Amino acid sequence: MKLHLESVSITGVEFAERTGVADHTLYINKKALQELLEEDPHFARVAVELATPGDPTRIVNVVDVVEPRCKIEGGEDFPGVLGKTVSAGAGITRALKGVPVVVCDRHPHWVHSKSLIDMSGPGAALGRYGAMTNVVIDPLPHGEIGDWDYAHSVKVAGCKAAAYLARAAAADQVDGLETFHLEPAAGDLPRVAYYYQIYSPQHDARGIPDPIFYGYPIATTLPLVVHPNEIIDGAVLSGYTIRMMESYSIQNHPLIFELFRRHGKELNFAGVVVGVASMESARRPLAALMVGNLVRDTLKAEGVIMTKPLGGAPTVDLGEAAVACEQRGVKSCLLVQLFNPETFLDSEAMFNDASLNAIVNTGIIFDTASLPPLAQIIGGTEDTPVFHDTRRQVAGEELEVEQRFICGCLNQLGASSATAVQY
Amino acid sequence: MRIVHYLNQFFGQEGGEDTADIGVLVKEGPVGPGLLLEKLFQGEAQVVATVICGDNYFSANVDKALDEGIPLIAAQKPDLFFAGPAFHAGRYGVACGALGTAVSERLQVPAVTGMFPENPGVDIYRKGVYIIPTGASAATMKEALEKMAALGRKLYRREPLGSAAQEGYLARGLVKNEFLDSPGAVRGVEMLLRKLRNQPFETELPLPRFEAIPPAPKLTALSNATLALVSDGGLVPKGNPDRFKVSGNTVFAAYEIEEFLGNPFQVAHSGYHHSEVRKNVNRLLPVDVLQEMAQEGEYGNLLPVFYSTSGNTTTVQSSKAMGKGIAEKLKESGVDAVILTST
Repeated sequence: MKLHLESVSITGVEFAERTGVADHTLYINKKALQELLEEDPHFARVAVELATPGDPTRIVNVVDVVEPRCKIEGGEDFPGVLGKTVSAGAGITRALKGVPVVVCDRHPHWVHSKSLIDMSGPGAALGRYGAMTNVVIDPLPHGEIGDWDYAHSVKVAGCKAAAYLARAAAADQVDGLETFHLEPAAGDLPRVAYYYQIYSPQHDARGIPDPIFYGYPIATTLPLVVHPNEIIDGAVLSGYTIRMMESYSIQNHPLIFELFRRHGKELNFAGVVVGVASMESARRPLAALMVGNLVRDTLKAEGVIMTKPLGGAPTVDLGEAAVACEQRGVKSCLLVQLFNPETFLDSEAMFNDASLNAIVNTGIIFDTASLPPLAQIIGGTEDTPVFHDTRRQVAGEELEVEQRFICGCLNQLGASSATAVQY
Repeated sequence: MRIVHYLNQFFGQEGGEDTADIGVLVKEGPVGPGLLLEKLFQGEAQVVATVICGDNYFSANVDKALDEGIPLIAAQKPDLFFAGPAFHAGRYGVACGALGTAVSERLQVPAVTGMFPENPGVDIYRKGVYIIPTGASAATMKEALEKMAALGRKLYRREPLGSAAQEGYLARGLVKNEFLDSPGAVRGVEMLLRKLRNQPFETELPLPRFEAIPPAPKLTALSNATLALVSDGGLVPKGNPDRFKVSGNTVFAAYEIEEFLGNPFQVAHSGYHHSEVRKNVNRLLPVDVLQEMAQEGEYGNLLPVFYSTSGNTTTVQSSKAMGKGIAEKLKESGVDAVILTST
């Protein structure tokens, strides 16, 4: 499977008569994009706004960030979501760099999982999207619509906008190319696999999981082998709420990119096993042994690095999977997050098997930041609630926000440089 | 800068174990180790007074000793307060910790003490006063005082304090995010490569030591046993009167079962989706099944009160404290066995 990922670096964005890219400036015909997105009858209207670094702007109700990508050859745009369900990961994909699509969901549900992006002030420094020009897609629901159905429409709208913008760039605008081709590396390099726990059903409303794998829900799947090219080429998107794993961070998966970078030099990237956290104790040892067997026998790896989604139960699962690997002679390293800031680090790990001695802590998610009010609010209003664990606060005020809700500040895949430190 | 220094009867040169019962007294200027402490400030500060108390007197009634000692300290108008160091002496450690915490909270004066990490005073007071780790014996006095003075100076100057590792104090139980040069993914690949090459590496999360808790002996007979229900699923009466936090909660409450079931309730827990519980609370608190079983004589009786808490990202420390508190209440009520429900 060979993927050519073309990139077009964008340094400026403007609304204009026609959508296109010239001299690294993205021109957007706002009306055309709105009309495209308003084809979905679930929307009363769709606003499209630009948020530039330094603007006194707070983007609220953020439920995803998507890098503009389109398939030039050998596949479909966001297969299973927009296009037909065909394999991702091969052919030619074109990406616009520096201009993410930010997707807002104003439906009044899941207050405690909406994120925000500040374009100036301390919030902009904390979350990486504060340093990029964001194209904000802000729909409004039409009439009475269920939260789950609306969330699906919003997800599709973000992908549609992302594909539409990527298609604005012609071939002669491409200024970068990375090729992803996992041929076995020559030499005696250690084989390293990645176990990617991509989902946990613990927050599924009414037991309905988010369709994150080729637009299909896989909340009960046992571990399976997926090519890393597929993962970074649109096969996996974030769930309906970000939870520190926005689609942009999967498209630019820091671990997969790092393993490819070192492939053939310091290691042999053996491949990826994808899994889902167990909600039943009977399932947990089964999923763990399968991870162990797939990593050791199918991917023939000597080392495995692992990441998790969401919360505590997935962390326990990750530990079990890692122990299964260690028992099979495969050395493991885990990326985990911590929760409650009023704690001691040496009592926070949810496992204590001595073999789990290589852990990267990617931050404490309930640590808060104080954000001053900002003059302009996109994706909501001054009265849009912003989560606080003990009181009500709204977007127009000075905010005390948990860092997990500052989009791009913390990341489960290791995109962020955050680490939790003991005071 | 005005420093007040606390010492026990021994370091305060009032005697040894024979004078451990003396009450709180004040001496002008530095005493014993206080002389070195003052010297470390090189004229910047003076130990204006030394407060001394016998270790037995203090530990016999901490509140009383605080009520007597704090006004004496306050009267000296200190800018900075030091206690000990207490090394491995337990009663002394408690006195230093209690005084340091009280000075910090009640007088808003920065306070520093020093203790051997296994001194019982550490676990009790580490959140309330800055504790410098010291050796077990007074042979390490000089080093201890140097570190205490350095930290004290920073606190007095209101300089921003770094992490426990950076500044050298014992962890106080607060964790914050810092942003390194390298993203977690890169740190992870590098750590794994070092592990694979049998090169030394440092984990970013130490593993906990789990205690082995022997289970209570099982019931010999269920037929006349008193059962109780305890849940950490976050059940609270509507309005959350006891202010359970939806995560990191530290309190529990007792609710009368009949009253609870007969009135509006809510779920204070952000770690699971509670629509099923709100539809039928018996699916978290199985009162319906237990009532049936009681009627059929399967066990003695159900305690009319249940204990509720919210167990989402609760720390081990909080969980232990709540568990202890609930167990005490259950014992008082003559409960034989507990059914704990979670989510």
